[in-house]
Amino acid sequence: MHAWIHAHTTAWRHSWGQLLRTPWVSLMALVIMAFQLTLPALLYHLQQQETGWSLTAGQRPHLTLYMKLEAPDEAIQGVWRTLAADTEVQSFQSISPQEALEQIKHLPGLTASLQNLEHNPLPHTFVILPRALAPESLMSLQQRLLREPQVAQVKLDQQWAQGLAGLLHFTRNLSRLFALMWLLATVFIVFHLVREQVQQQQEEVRVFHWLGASAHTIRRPFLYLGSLLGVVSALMALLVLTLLISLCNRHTEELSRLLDRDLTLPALTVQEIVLLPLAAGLLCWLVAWVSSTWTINRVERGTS
Amino acid sequence: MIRLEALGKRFSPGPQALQGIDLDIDSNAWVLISGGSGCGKTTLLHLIMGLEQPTEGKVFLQHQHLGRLNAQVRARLRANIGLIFQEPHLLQRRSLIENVALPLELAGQFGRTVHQRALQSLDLLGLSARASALPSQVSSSERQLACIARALITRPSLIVADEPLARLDSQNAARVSGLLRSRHSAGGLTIVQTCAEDCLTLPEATARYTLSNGRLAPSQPSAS
Repeated sequence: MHAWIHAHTTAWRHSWGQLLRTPWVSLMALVIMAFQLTLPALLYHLQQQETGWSLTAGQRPHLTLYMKLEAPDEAIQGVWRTLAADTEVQSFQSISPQEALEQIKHLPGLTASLQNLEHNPLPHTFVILPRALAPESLMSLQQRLLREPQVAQVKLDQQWAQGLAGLLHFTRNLSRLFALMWLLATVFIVFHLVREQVQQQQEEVRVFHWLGASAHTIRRPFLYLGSLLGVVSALMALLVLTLLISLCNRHTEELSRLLDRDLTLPALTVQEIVLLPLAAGLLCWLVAWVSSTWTINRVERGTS
Repeated sequence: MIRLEALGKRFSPGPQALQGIDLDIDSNAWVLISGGSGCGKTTLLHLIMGLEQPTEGKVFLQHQHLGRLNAQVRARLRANIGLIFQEPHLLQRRSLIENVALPLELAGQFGRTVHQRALQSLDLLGLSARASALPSQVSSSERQLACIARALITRPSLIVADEPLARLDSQNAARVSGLLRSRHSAGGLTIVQTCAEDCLTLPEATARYTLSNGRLAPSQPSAS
């Protein structure tokens, strides 16, 4: 166990040494990787959060529930209780046929027509503000409410939902595209840096090979170098993101007030803070594995 | 210990470096292989150590056919061989003592005992005073002595030495020869050593061969 720890700490020291021996090259590579990572990470972050930004395409959506005309009071009370208990419902407003008629009467041009009606043709209505904004959640709530007794119709603001779905789809695709670009840039940068390091240390690699070091032992410092590049660049990207969010929030206060909508960008979640360096570290480790294996084989064969 | 069967090596593109080599080396033997520069001595040693693959024939090391072993097993076998190269190959960022301790480190040993053994190994070759110097701070001869100390530190049962004395002055050459002789006479050590054409006088050698035009032929001790 001690030998294992010793071998790994030596490899870690060696990897840091590789980074620090060429500080400017390492720093440049890290900065480029960090900036490449910032954009997809920001898009991913926004996509995961329901912020005022995701609602800028339109008003907050609502559902309108119409009871049947002959629905008894018990059925209306039942729907009221269901809505009050549903965690997906943020708030709702119950509008009786009389209240609805009164509102319509104030609309210009309708007063005379409505006076000729023998009875109130309007049903009892609920206007519902949902908590979740994802189109799938809205559809699911609509279907659930339709199953309530004496409910004639539940109308969802389809246009809004489709608009939001389209926007989310676009953001997701954009985020994937940027992530792909980051991936390609990272693969090239890490592959190249690791290859350079192996070539600079080919004498050491050969000595280790001749003395019977296992492939794992020879590769280990280069794998750690790759992971280090990934983790450090991800941490730098997180730092840039935090600064970006903080800067944005400072400037959106006034805009939020004017639009009466919360445009504040939420802070990074613990999950994102943990996941990003882990994923970047793992990816770079894999690239370093490919690069170091390929280059070490060439060095050992003497073809490098 | 070592068996070579119809061994041949052709570099592509290039000439046939070795051909039709049959050789049996028993345990405790001291085999000298001489030959002119570029005759294929180093290639032969590389084949014995599994550092290169033959284009023809087979190499058996400790009863194992190297061609059938994967790189990992070949590396493990190599870890038990003391290797001395013509050129002093050392890790430039490590001190002499750290270089000498490397085989033990690769075997999973570290700490004070390893340091002591490395120091003793350097001391045998008169290098203990330069233990903490970097390879770039010592002479070429001292670097070669450090390589020899590194080869001896694990007390291997096989030493493969490629012209180990070529870079040494007469005093250090005598010291290294004496050390190899005492290790060999203590038993349990096989040595395969290459040397220039006029070095077949070593009395301890149990077999002498000459390598010429890629072929190996038995040789008689030359008059000193």
